[in-house]
Amino acid sequence: MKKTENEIKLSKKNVFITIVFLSISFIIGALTMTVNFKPILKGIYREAVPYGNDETKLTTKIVKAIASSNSVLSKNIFGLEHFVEIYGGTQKLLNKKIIVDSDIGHIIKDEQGFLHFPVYAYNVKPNAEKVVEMKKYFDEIDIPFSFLLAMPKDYEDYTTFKKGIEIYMNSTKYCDDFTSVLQEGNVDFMDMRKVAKETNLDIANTFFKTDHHWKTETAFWAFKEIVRYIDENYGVNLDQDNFKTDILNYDISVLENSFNGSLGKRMGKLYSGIDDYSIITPKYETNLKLYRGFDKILVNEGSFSDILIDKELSKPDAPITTNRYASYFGRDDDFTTVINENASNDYKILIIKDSFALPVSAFLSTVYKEVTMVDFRASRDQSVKEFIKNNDYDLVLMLYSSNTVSSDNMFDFK
Amino acid sequence: MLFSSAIFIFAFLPFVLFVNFVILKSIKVKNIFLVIVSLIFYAWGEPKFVFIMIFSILFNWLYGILIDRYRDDKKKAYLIMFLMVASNLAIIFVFKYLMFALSNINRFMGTGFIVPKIALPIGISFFTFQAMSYVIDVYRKNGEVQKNPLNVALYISFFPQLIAGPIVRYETIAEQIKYRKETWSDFTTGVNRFIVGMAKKVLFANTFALLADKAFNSNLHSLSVVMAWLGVLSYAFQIYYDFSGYSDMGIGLGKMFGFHFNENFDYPYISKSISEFWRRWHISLGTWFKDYVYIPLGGSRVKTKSRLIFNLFVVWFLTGVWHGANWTFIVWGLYYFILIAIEKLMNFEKRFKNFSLLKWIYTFFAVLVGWVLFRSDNLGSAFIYLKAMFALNGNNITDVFILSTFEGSSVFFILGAICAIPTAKYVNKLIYRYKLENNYIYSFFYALIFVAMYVVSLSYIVKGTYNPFIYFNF
Repeated sequence: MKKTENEIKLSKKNVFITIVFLSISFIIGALTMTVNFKPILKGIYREAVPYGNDETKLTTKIVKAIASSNSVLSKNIFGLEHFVEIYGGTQKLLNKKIIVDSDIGHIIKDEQGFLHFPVYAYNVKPNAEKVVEMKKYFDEIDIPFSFLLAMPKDYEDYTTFKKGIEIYMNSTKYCDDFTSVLQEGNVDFMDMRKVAKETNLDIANTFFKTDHHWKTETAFWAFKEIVRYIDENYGVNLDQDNFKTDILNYDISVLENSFNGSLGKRMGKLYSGIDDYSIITPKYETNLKLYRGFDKILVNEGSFSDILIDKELSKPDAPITTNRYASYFGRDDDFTTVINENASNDYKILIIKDSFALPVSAFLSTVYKEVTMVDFRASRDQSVKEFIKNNDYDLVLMLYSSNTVSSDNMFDFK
Repeated sequence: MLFSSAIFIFAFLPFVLFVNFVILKSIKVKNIFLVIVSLIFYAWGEPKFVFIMIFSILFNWLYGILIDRYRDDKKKAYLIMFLMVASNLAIIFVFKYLMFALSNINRFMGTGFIVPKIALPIGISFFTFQAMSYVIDVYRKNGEVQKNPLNVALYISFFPQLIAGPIVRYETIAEQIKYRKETWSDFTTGVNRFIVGMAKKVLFANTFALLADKAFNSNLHSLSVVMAWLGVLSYAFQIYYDFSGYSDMGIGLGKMFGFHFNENFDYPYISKSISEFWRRWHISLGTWFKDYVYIPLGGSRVKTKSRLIFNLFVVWFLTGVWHGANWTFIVWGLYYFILIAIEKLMNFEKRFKNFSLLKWIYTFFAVLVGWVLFRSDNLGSAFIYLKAMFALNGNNITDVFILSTFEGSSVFFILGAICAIPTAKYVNKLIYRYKLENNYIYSFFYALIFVAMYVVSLSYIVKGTYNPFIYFNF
């Protein structure tokens, strides 16, 4: 092929492009290999030897290490957040509302600017039937049981999607199908969609834009409504003077523009925007003990703020991609128990939960003597039934979000 | 290892460039270094297959020595060439076609042969064809024999063209192995070419791949007409940008190291006949078959039409088979045999000179039908897909998935179409005609576009977006 003049002559623009090309490859490559060397090595090791020193052949481990090297390196690239911003910015420029994500399938943006996990068509009824079975078990051992369904992020009368995308958002159908089976099975349940309507909840401010969870303020609202629900349905009076369910008796510390949540951090600020994160803590005196695990090992004691709020995740200057939502309790554990030394009653409650329950359970610990959370994702090796037998609970609640009702590992009660 | 991967861009390439250009001075040592890193590059995908390639390199190097020594002894030369072709094809057969052959024998003859599970070494068809090219070109005196097996290794395994071509003919780079010149001018144009290839692959091909997969992987019986057409159009763009993007990256990388490979694509979708399409699509494969199969069989200059048809049949049957062990590829190859045979017999290209638009429509339509055969999992699926395109499945015209599947994709279709025709060539011509090549504004925007393409492509790579490479399977 004949060479063009452009190819023969050394042009300044080509030199410039080459310098940029080499700079990016060399500088980012070198910084990645030096600054992030340890996490890269760790990541590759974890992929190659996922279960510690097992008996896998060395050659298999090498093949696994090689196979994982690219994805581990990508996740530890120096300046990763800038690449994510460029990616998100490009999607924004293209006005993309549904984005394919290699890890989670799709990210969907509604017309109100909220990001969503897709809710694919799925038959949730078998999971609801498992809840009916659980209810029968609790009837047998004479412990009251109730299912609490958190409202989905996409509200029927509020959220709108670009035409065609709504086929990926089946939350309403999930919730309707699920609650219909609960109703038929005579399971007590609280559908928070209804409660939100009845209490005129400010829907635009219920969820984070960049995270799939509800805001701390919404969790507090849920706490208040759950207390009301328990009082009405189980003949108790958890908060006699309505003191602990009154937001005025709490400090609200707002970390402005501090949170790019589970969905937003995959797309960057340019695409997702950024959320404020609030930490709500009692103004009144509290004295709590925190236990972790099946055997209830005491890990901390002190005030609400000292033991239930994770210091690292709630630091004002923490990176915006920090999982601030987990500031309450720090993580989803198998068994977590809080004992309230200042409680005015001796009620004990067990909450079978997903992550939506973290802040709610923290607030519930102010009105109960003992609150235990159990997460089926983390408690696979232990018997929850045995745990319940060993502890004399007054009530078992199951608090799940609408996303969780389609989960295949959150309903195995054993 | 993929060119469009973080490990290649941020680790492998800078390391290889640094050692090659800063540390090493002698071309001999550079060749050894490039062989070593090329083997590592190959081994990164599936380490054990590197031994197959080393084996292939060694026995073809030996065949090269033998054919050079016994060239004048016709009997021995033919025997060596026969053994060379047989052993190369045997390797491909075992790894690529044995499972297919046995399962079809079992199917049609009712036998019960155990069909072993054999993994396909990446790019085996590419490197085997290059290896054969080496021995044939040495025999034809189109390139000198390499006494040093490392030079043969470099020719066969050089990482820019190793996995998905272009299939570099030995005669093209025989001299460059020993006497190439690395220039800053080549390096910079190589970088530009690499960036163009990466953008084609990452921004276009991967986007179209998602759309095409959605159509081809859905329930074909209920696939709507619009979805079927958009799906095959997406696949046409995907395969073009995937493969030509990889070729651009390969050619660009080669240039950075002082190697000049031939072009592999020349705007195939502007073709006005199937024959022209194949002169513009995967040129290196077409010329390989032409020079090493078609011409030795007599080519077009044969006495009878039946012989011409036979020659075409052999070439297109082999082209189909080369692409994969599946009836879809064989039928796809034979489909082109029929179209090209008809075109040749009716002198299509010259006869209908004044019907450019109609010829283009015919060609593009025929190519799209071909892609349905090529992309489908089996002939049955291809048939159902083709029926869906013409509403013959009792299917609807549209469906609810169209809007969400193609959401935000119109810009890719528009840009994809613009870049699939010689727009850049035309703009370049204008730039030179009006002497704007050194104009600051032009230079600024030119550089800006390239840097933007590179950075945005990197962001897609780092984000780990969908990144399949179609031609790795061949």
